[in-house]
Amino acid sequence: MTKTDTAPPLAGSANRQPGRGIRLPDETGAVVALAALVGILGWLRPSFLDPANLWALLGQAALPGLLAIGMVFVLAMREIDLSAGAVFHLAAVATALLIEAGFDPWLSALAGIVLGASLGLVNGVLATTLRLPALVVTSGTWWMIQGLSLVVGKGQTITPPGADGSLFTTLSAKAFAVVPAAGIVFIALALAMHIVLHRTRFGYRVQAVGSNPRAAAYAGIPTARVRLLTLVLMGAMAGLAGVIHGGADGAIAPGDGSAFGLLAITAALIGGTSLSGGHGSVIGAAIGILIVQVILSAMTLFGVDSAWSTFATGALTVLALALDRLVRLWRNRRVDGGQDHPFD
Amino acid sequence: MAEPLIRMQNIRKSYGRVQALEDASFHVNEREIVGLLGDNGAGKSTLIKVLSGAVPLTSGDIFIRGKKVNLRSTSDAIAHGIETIYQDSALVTQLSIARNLFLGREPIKPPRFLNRMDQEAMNNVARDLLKQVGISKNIPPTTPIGSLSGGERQAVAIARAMHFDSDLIILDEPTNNLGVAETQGVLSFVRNARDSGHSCIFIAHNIHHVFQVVDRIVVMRRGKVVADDIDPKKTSVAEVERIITGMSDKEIRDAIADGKPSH
Repeated sequence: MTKTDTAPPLAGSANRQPGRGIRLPDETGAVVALAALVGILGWLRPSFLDPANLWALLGQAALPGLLAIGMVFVLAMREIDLSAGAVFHLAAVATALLIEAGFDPWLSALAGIVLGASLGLVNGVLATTLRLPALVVTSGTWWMIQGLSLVVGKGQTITPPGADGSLFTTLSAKAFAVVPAAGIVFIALALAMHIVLHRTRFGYRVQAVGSNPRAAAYAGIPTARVRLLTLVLMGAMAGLAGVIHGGADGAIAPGDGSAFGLLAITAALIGGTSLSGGHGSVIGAAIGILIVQVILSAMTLFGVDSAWSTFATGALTVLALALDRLVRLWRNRRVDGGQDHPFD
Repeated sequence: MAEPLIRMQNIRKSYGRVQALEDASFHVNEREIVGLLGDNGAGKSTLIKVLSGAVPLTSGDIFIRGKKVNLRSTSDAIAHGIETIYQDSALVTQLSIARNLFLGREPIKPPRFLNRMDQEAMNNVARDLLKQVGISKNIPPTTPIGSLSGGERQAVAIARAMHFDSDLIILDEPTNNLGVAETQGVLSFVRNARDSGHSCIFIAHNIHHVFQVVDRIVVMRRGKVVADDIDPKKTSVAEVERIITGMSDKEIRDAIADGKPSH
């Protein structure tokens, strides 16, 4: 055997084409879809483009949108958190009751967020110590948390006294008189968390764990801690959304936010985050939730019975799932010669 | 004789009632490539997992340069300079080459509390390393691992181990599923690694690949090391195969005649 200073060029490295040219960002599809939707609706019903209507839309999208931000991290780690909607509701109820009991609104709001994070911690501890997928764990905790909401809130609509509540005046006030404050929080957090996912070590480790958990563990990444932190983040986002809900909308009805968990998953999928983990787009999910909200609002605009909105949301979820799967199968055919992901 | 780089003594590992390792003793010298051979279930991968901190041992001692160490996790092993490249689980296919090189050891830009990764530094190191290991075809370090060929992936994994100055690189089936030219490429990376001062443990089913690259062959059978000083230059493939199966030629013929494959 002769010794070589540099290794010989590797065979089989020439016949590769994907991924080397100009790649459109993953959010492209969602942006185009949103623009097209808004354009078509504006053309059919010019009143839709009314700034007040658009801002209201943003406000409606903000709450499930905050959950979607957290959900992108969870999905990028190849996990699913079903309990997010219930966490949202319990945080809202708890905050409202604390304010009712006379606590400072800002402290109560902080307590709501901490409660959300702690519920995420419970999910995380269960998932890591029992080594179960978060999907399994949270399908149980979801019911428990929902049950707690019912117990604590006595199954009634809660209207926190908003007389002098500084939180409520701040949150229900629209900054600059037009943009809803919840919308501002949502946009700011979406941008910040996008950077966290793509530029920080934590975000990168989330993606590494989601892409190949064993490789991540073998490389010395503390995978349990990453899973735990991600579920805590998800809980905190849901808690924050719950607090804002109580503050912005003034009343918390028993069913509020029950669909938010699934909405968040749908939004993430529409925005280019894959169920198979390893990668995600927070900005994509933000656009995704806007798309969902535009479609729902279009249905109202065209006088479709509101009873259909649940069906429509479900149909969107299935559509997003199918697209995610089809894109993945197609990409695998090109990249890996028909092999599916080894850990799928 | 000088103290070996790694010495594993009387290692036992049991999974419940199953004895995966029974009193296995094994060593690797400085700048040495050791081929670890054995049939399926002989205990090769358990031994490697113990050494890389992936599974705890039931009893026994591990010494690195004569000092007893306690490897409780993969990060412990990495901190002691033991780098393992697992078949299929070495790399994260959806992330870029640069990010894979720094998997678990990502450099952070100041100020530290912002937790931002220094992507520029990662890309620069990656570019240099790719050249060193012979991938010179202008592959940007931001390319996802998923679009590399099998040989290129192995090259990236080996480059990672070399960059972080590990003393021992464990290669689990590095030539699996590779073509002839790619296999030669990987074998030459392994030789390069030794020549630049690293020791290697090379596990492969293909005995011919092992013969081409290793300095010494160790054979395991039923959880024990049955031969640990086979010189590939003085021993034939057939002889080593006999040691692996633990059967004489006649026994092998009888086994085949019985319809039982010998391995």
